[in-house]
Amino acid sequence: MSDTTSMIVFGNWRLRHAEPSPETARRLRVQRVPTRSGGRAAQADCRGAHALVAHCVDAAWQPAPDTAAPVPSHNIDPDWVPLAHVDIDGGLMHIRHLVDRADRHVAHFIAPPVPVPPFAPPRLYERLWQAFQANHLQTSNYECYYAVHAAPEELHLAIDATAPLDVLALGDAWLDALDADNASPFVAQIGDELQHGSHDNVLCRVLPHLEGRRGWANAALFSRKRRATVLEPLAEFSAVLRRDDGAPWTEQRHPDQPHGPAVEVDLAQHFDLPLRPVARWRHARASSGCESLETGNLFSVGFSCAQAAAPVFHCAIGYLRTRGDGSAALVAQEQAVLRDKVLQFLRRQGLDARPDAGGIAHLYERIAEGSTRP
Amino acid sequence: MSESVYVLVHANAAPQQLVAVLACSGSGLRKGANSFYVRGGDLRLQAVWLADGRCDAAPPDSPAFEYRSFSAAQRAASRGFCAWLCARHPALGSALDAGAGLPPRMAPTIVATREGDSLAFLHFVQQGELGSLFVRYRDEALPDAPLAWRHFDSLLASHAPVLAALRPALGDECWYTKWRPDLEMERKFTFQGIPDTWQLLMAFHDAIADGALPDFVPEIDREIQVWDYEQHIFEVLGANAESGYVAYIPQADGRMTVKRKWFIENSEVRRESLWGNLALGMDDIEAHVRTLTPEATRRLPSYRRKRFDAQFESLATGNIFGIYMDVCRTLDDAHAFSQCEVEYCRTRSFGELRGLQQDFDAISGFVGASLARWGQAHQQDLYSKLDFVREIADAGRAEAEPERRVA
Repeated sequence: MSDTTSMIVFGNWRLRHAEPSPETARRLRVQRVPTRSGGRAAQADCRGAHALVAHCVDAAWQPAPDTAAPVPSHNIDPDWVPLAHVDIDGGLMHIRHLVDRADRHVAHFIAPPVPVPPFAPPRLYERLWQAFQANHLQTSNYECYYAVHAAPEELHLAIDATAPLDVLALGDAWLDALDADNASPFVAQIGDELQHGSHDNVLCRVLPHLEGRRGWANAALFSRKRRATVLEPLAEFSAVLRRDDGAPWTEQRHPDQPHGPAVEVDLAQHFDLPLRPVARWRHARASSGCESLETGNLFSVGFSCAQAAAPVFHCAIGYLRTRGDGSAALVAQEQAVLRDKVLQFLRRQGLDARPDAGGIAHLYERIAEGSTRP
Repeated sequence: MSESVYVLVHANAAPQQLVAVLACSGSGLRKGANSFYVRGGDLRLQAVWLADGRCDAAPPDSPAFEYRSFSAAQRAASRGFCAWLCARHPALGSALDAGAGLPPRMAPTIVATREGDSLAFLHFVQQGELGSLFVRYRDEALPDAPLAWRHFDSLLASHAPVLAALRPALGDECWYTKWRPDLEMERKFTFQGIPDTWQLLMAFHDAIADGALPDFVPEIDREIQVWDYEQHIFEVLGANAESGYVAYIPQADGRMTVKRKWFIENSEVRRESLWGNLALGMDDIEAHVRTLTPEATRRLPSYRRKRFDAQFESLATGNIFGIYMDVCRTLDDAHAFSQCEVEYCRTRSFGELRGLQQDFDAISGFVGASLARWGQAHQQDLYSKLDFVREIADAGRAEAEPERRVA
């Protein structure tokens, strides 16, 4: 993981898309830009004036003099778009990452799945062309290059706060901590930096029944479906169940379920379980996507306040997906590392936080009991 | 002309409790009948109204008004403003306390604007690099007496039921509706030659962000999208309800997206379905297309589609449209064409769907007029990508069988 000024190549969009370029568009500009990078991906905010390293015009590499003035650049620009993150080692140029998404505030780059062998700098234009041709499906489709390598449970942290705690402020502080930790492979995920939610829930305890599963069912009163009218009643129904005290919990989530005024009845019918409502609670949440630039694994970090009789604070770290290749073992390893980072962050804030192996079932128990202490 | 905006501040720990009204002003504000798009620097604090009836005029050197937290710079500015506010009005310190030693935080969820003889109340939905968006949920008649704290306090109390009903729609991405998800609605502008489509998209984005198309703003968080993929296409023959085309689009992860459009003649509104993440290889598509339709099909030349998108939202209705710039080039590079499409995407409104056709005409008209003004040769037509590859296939067949062309 590095956070130094790296070399970013700027040029015309046509190079990225194998479009014929007029001569004036076959120019590249290489600049030093502060960049966070890892093995799989890199992020850079290219805005501002940055030192010029060289121009590359067709096959001519033209180093800039030391006295060259910094040149203004942007993440999105009509003429000069960020194309690649490169470096030069032993006189040879390496294409580390190709751009795959640029927003106004940041550009994101990904290691090309079909790598490019090192080459002499004058061949930069030609090799970039070839690199984009070989990798355009992965690098130029609005972040469609995803795979899911595991389905791990969320890792939970219980937060015991005796005084009121604003979880949105906590989410802001986490984003600042991510920004500041240059040695960490984790950054806020471009496009999913910040999500706020505040929806009501109906929590039900599963009553004893012949089939024997015990646990909780919950109706979260929200939906992200593009529906016909904004007030169409849809909810996410979920259940966390196990057969006996020693068995692991299993969780099911079913979004976009229609419901009526008695949502607990719809919930019972949906899961075919006898239920008893125990709490109506509000879930306020600040969530951010979190990317490991080293592996391309994407996680969510959500700080929550579950408000029923008393507020219950907790944090959940979930795996979302991966940019490209990976493994379940790597996901589990990084999810645990991220959980520990969040734990350290919470403790630095002076909060009494600890891993909660009971997960969502334990959270429901705390909500039902209206207790801040298990 | 300067307009008044009232930013309502609630206690962090008691979201029902109004603790301050920040009376702000701004000119050139981007607001419409449905929503209010607040750009950084749009609003200037004029006065702070407090629960005890005090009204404190803001000094000329008050810091820039900021409440967003999308970026590090916004978070720093928001904290700076909030700290200044709490220092000047110590009573707000406890209400805006974030706990755990965190700096105080102000995150207004409701603003009110003067609209003629009424007050429009809008709820926060989203923030981004360029701005934040509030969507209108209620109008109230302006009181006879000059506006004061008590008016906002009592009006907000009366809004509790409507806000409770809207709560499921207030979370991230929960606010969208869509007219007829089974239909696409798009208008096409076909270019002469292959223009600089990226520059054109930037030009549209900048122009609309600058207010060149009244009522429209860039949709937050979906500003610019870049796509570059292949389409392997079958025309569905028969001139009946099955007709149209099926396109196979290889995904980056090795799976396949299948898109089907149903139409006999080109039109602006067509039935469309999209199925993603199918476990299909290129060797499977001939067999797969036969599972989709009993009608005869014709394989047409494959092409690569290089597409740049930007999305824009109407502040009058909440209807959201994409401007899509396409360069389509056959895989052998022998044929190419370029087109701009304007397409309805979704709606963000707490009211009924309305004005869809008018909005569609307005943004399409703007696109056509802008292209003409910029000297970008084009024609508005119904020319489809199916036409593009069908013409290539027909021309190839005519060359191969000249006697049949004569016949």
